[in-house]
Amino acid sequence: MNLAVNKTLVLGLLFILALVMGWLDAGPLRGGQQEATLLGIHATLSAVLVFLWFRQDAFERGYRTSLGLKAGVLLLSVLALPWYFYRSRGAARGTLAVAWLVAAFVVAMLAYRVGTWRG
Amino acid sequence: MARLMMRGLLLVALLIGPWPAAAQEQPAIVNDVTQINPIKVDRILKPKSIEEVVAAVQAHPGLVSIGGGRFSMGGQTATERALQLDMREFDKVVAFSKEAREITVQSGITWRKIQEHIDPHELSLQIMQTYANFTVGGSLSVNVHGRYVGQGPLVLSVRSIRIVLADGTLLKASPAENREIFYSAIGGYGAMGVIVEATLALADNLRVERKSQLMPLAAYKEHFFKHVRTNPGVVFHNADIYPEAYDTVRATSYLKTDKPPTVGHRLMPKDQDYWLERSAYSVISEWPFGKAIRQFVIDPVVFRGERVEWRNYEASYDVRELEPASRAQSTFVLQEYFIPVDRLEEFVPKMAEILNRRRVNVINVSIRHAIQDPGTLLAWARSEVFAFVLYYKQGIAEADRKAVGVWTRELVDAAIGTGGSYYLPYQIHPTDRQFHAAYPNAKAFFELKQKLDPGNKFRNKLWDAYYKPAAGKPLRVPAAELAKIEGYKRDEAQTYLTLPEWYLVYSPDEYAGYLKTNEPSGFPYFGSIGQFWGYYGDVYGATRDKYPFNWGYHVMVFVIGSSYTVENALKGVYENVVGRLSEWFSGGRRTQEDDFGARVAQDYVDFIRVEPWYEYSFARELKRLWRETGLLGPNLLRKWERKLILSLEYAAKAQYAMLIKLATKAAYGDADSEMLALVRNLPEDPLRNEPALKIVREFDDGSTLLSLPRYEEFRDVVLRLIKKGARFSEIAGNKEILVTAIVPAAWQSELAPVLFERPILTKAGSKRAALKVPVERLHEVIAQLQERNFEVEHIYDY
Repeated sequence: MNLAVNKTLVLGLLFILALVMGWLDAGPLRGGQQEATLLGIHATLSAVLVFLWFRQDAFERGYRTSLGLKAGVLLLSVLALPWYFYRSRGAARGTLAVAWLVAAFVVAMLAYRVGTWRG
Repeated sequence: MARLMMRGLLLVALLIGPWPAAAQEQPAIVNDVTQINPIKVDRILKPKSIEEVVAAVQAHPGLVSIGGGRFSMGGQTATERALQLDMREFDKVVAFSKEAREITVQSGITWRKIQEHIDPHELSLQIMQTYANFTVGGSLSVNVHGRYVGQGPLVLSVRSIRIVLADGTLLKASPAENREIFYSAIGGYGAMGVIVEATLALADNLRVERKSQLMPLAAYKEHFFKHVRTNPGVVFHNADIYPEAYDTVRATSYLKTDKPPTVGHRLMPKDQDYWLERSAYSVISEWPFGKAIRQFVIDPVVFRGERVEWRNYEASYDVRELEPASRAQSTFVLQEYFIPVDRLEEFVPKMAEILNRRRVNVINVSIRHAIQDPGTLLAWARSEVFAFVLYYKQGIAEADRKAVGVWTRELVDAAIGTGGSYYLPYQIHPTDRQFHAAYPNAKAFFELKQKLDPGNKFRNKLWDAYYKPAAGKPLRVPAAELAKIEGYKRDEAQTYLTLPEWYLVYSPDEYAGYLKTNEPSGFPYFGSIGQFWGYYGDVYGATRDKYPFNWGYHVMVFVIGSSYTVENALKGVYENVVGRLSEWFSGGRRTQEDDFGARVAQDYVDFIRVEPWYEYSFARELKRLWRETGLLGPNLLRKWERKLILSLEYAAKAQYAMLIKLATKAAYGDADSEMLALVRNLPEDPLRNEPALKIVREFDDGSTLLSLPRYEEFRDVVLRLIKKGARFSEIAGNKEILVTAIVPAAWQSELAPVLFERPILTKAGSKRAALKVPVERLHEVIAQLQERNFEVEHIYDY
């Protein structure tokens, strides 16, 4: 069963999530264990969004994903996604995809930075 | 004459029987509001007259404790085998004068009952605490304070008291008569005698209007002295500091007004169920972001709109609003610290740091104000002070209580360090040294107690802890008994086997030190990998023939060693290729990101010295990297290269740490945070400046069983104890222990056998020597190493 998701929308949600988390981090939820809880929520939601993106991408490419890969993307995406890109796209296009991954990561962090801005 | 009459009455009472049968109860467990201090007393007596109190004190041959509302939180109302005087039925109004604005009451009366008596006369109590359920006697014994502005400790509103001393003498005491007893009984926690009556000053019952405003903590002191302290119209005032940032306060004042009341009642209605308040406390203490929900949702609703009420209404809160649904797993507890007014800004950051570091579930910190105490011997306001009332939630398990003890002692040190004090009605965690530092007149107090109560009749848990005129030590327990103590014996092989794990602290320590002045590319990544496996081989060789093979440990070392190897190999390759290139482009000039990376490396080392590495929040550092370093700046290429590689490193480590944390918790559970050691020659006050140290038992041969913290702190505590002359007999039931020292490369040990040694990779001419030391000779070896100015790197606590 595959529930189709829009990959662009998922990416957009990732950036919006980072923006909101930046705002909360620098504002109402700053300090102590609240900040730690917020980090946990940010990490969990990000992992879910990344997983949704990955699942849709694999479906579109007809790539059969193993349980290990799914778990890897969910829990250790920094390593698992590049591996997936090389396996699903080959060396050249995989390298390009990794570059896009890094770019998306940078954009998410920039969104977070914008969220922390208080004027 | 009065004494003769009393003796006559006493004789009659004794002839009839020591006390009315209906007032006696069998041996019982008494507890306080927290439900974590059950104490088995010999008997409970509920006196209804002064004569019964006198008779009980004179006739009872053993210990006597005094209990009121039982809102103290550390056993201040009882001790084992004592007769407890439960004063709650001794609760009549003795005299009242509207003209003189004073009331005389029996000490078991609640403040609420007094309010009901004086409210129709448009009068109010001059000083009392926020909640009206307490008894007057209990409040006098702890010398409470409230939220009244320009007031302070309760003693300031007491005109006189009557007290029954240990020999049964009934005395009147006031600032003018028996002054010494007056100022020692008030705030004396039942040590001097039983306060049976008090004459209290009253004030007008006015209408007050609530004014509340939010402000940064930094602005609070000025606000208080400009708009509150000097404003005669302000009756009540307090300010709540919002956890967990502790940088914002809500200052709330109640000002005299002629406006009609918006609250219909003159006193708070009795028997409310307070479900709303209790639900709010549940949200604040249990829900994710409960603190923020309070600050941004609950409080704005609670403090909205105009509110005018009677002074007596605002002074008649019921503690039931604080009562949780259950105290079976956790309980709400109070603490309080008093800080001289000019040092508020100094104390709050220290308090915040401790509370956040120790992950205390703080519900509220309320700031109150008090003027200087007029002279009670146990004065908590030795000057004009701000009181910080800390309300928090804690688990009731032994481990939770130990953890509270550690951070409480840290907070007490922070208060004492800022010239302040702490409050005594709560859990009795502070050490003897801390008690005397916070209450410098305690010596005079104890001298007076010795005079008035030479048999130490009036006792409770507080005075059992700090007043020990004839304390005895338990008999010596044989070594076999020690071994039976749960958690005493630890596996001796672990003193050796933990070294490779510790290398994962030493190596990042070297790395952090190296980054302070060098470029990352120069660090010996591959050499470090070699050293890790080298040490593993060393300890395996040292334990192979002597101890059973520990499979769990070796698997764990293999896992962490493999991760360490992969990380250092990747970094080594990257830094020596891309890193060197970007260093070359930057011309050796450091960027913000270089400095950030070096700071995090040091922060990480400081963290893993006391906590498992996987608890370190790399995700937080990732966010800080993007929050605290600019997007543009000099050496742009190096800047972004560092920003990216550090981001990837922190992101990968954050995810990996989470995985390891889950796996570790599933496989091992939480590690012990304390261990036991048998020590001789302890200094006079061994717990001085040692918040993590605890005396478990003392033996008549002079030995003491100590509970010590583990890991890095273990070394520090052991070094300090040895410096003070302490001698270790056994540590965790073992007779030998591994010590590593950083020594010159050419040094040859004559102090103890060297098991192995390896060079320090980033410090030419130094080596790490691993010494096998008999515990009985630990002090000698340590002293010799320190005499030679060698660093005692670690003592491996099994």
